[in-house]
Amino acid sequence: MLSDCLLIIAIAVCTALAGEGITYLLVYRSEHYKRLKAEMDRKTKRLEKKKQEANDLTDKNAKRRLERDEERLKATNRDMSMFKMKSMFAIGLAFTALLSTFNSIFDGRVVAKLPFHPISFIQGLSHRNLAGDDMTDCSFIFLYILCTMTIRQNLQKMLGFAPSRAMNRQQSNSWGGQNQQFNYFR
Amino acid sequence: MSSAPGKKVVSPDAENSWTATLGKALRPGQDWPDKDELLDVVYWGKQVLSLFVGIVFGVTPLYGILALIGYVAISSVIAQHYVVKFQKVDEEEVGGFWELAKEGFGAAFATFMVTWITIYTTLHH
Repeated sequence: MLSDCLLIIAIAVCTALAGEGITYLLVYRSEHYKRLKAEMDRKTKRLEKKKQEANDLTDKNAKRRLERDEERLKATNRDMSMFKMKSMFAIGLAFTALLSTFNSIFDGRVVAKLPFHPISFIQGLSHRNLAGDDMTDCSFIFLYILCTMTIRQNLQKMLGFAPSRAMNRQQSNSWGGQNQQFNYFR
Repeated sequence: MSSAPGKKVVSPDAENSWTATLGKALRPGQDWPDKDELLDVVYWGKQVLSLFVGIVFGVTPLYGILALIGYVAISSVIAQHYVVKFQKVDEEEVGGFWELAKEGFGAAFATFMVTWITIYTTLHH
């Protein structure tokens, strides 16, 4: 089982590296994306500053200006998402195909033992395609998702590709922070 | 040989910035004008802590929901103590207790789970 665990960790490292590498080639290194990101950072910081200053103000004009700035920020974010979308979609498709290949290699194989009894909602993943009733048996997909969660996020942070905190805060304030969720399945 | 004009040169400051931050993070009561820098320290600190707790829980072994709750409690309390007691920074300046607890929680929790499961599987099965 140890060899399976280590192999899955290695697969997750390789796919995360490949994913970030391809995203870098297709998205991060392009001048258009760099310009949009810089614009987004600048606008986010300016909006945060304005919001702090306008906290105790009840001036209608200031509020309207703030709303207009928020709209501009949303538009830039939309442009950035549209720019990323095509390549992300292609990468997502390629990695889903890769994942199903690995899934078939590990089909029906117990790759690890869980030190806890997963709740029913998790069992669908942790016991996927496994025979028997022992719910502490762990399937490939569960361990792979956990590995991807940690490796991809740390890699993005190390390489400086992770969105800034100010941007995250603005997004979670404006759109409920749903953009960053389920990123791990990409 | 001199570098070509326009070529991006990494300044020694930028190169040493993470070592400088690490040195600062290990000394108590430092000044943190950039709060994002402190939150980065909390993020990576949680990663190291998760790896350590995962190994300890896997070797012991601890299992069940109590171990999971134990990890969440340890991670949140240590992060809060580090900022408030060790670095003597007002936690409201970095967004309060929940903001500290949430900082990098997903990635740190996954690190803990992978380490815990791998060590537990290796040593006890």
